[in-house]
Amino acid sequence: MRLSAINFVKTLKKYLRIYRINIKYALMVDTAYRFSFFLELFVEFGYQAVLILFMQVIFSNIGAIAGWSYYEILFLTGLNILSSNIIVGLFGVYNLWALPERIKNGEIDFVLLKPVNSLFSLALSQPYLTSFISSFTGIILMVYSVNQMHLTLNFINILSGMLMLGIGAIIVFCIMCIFGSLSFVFLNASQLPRLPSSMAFQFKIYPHQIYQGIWKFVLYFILPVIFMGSIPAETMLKGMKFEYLLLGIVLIIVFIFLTFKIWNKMIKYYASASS
Amino acid sequence: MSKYFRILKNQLAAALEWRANLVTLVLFEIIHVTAVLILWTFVFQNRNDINGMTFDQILLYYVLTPFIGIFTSVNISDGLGSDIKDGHLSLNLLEPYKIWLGRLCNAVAVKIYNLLFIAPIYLLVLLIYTLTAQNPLISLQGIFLSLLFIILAFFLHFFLDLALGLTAFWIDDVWAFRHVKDIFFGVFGGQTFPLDFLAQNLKRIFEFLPFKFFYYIPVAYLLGSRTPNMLGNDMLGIFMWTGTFVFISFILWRFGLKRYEAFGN
Repeated sequence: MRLSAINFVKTLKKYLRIYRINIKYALMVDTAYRFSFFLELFVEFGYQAVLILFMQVIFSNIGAIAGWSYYEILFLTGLNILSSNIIVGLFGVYNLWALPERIKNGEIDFVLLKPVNSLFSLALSQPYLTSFISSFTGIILMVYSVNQMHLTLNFINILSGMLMLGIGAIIVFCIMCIFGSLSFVFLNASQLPRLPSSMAFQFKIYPHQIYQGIWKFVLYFILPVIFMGSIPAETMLKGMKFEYLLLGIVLIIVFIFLTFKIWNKMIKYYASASS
Repeated sequence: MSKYFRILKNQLAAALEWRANLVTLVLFEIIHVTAVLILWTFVFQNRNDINGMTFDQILLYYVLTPFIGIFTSVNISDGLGSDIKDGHLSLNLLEPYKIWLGRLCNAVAVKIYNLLFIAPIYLLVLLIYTLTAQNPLISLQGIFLSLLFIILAFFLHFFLDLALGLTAFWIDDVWAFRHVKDIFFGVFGGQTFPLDFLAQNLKRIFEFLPFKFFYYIPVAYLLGSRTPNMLGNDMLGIFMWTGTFVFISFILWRFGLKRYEAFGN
């Protein structure tokens, strides 16, 4: 038992070291092509502006929705910008979204030869730094909305909300991996790994109370992307609900198990390509 | 003519080859329609209109916008930009056809593909709506006028995108234009929200720009919120903008080709 705990810490340290090196490398590449880097930032801010404007125009006409006031919606929008950047920057651009192209070009051979877990190498190891920088807009929007509501956020609530966001990030990452792993079977399915992120972007921007009937079941249990949207936002504003924490923990266990099972099965379909 | 038909056929065959992408694209559209339905059904549970727009109007607006986008959207700048940057354009220059016409055939092939596989989802939603609604908002006249603007907007978008792609003779990062275009369409084109939601003075500025032709104008004619007496002004506008981008593309091609050095390849 003690030996396996030591091994776990050693492995964790190894992967953290690899990730640190990759961040350093990404920073070097980004700063080498500065114009492209600023262009990427400009594009990210542009998309955020569209989202903010959409929420602003729609909800200034609607007023309150499902018990969420205008500024609470604005807070949710800020959190959504933050969580979308986590999806894009940590799991998307250079990782799961690039997977079909890498499979088609036969680049996975080199990854499989390395003494590193393939799921880590292909789904998590390459960060897209522009997203981290542009996520600050979300934080600024959250602070602005809290000020407008004349609220003082409880430190415990902020921590609880971050915990729920972390749970949501793991769940969404698992869903993205499950969909992404299908790229090993369906060659050149370039849009396939983007499907769960698109689903997350569409459904997590609204308060979870608007989902009723079958959609409530789907978005709480089958594809629980709302754990990266209004659930952490509500936790930060109003405090932790124990049932959400419990559900989140159960979902993490189930999704991690499924992810490893499906990924390991799907990667066997990889047949290499090119030279 | 047959050589252009061959290009069109090849592009269509290439698009049909990757069937998993096709299924994914269909799923993307279903997700979008579902999210729109859920939000607006909830919002209208305890109100009759928002800014003068009824549930039917809003729902149709958000279902029709991506539907119209299927036909008016064009994305050739990415490919053309990469071809110029990587020197692949040299191959095209040796081939016995006009490059812009070849790209137009490719864009039309993508439209046919979308028409066959993605449009039926929206047509199904519209059919259910027309059969169930007591006073359907869509008239035959609306469909005709909208169709007219969809075709014209496709050509406008093609020449706009062609001009953007041709800037690759001078600029490396043409990829960014696609995103900038998406952002502009989202705000100024009425893709994200109906322009009727804006204040009048702000709407006047938006009306001057060409982006409204890609989403807002065809939807507005289809829903009847734009009447035939506005047709003259809108036609003049779309022809003027198309002419401008044809001229810009011609100039960029003429001067760009002189700069082209066929790197790589």
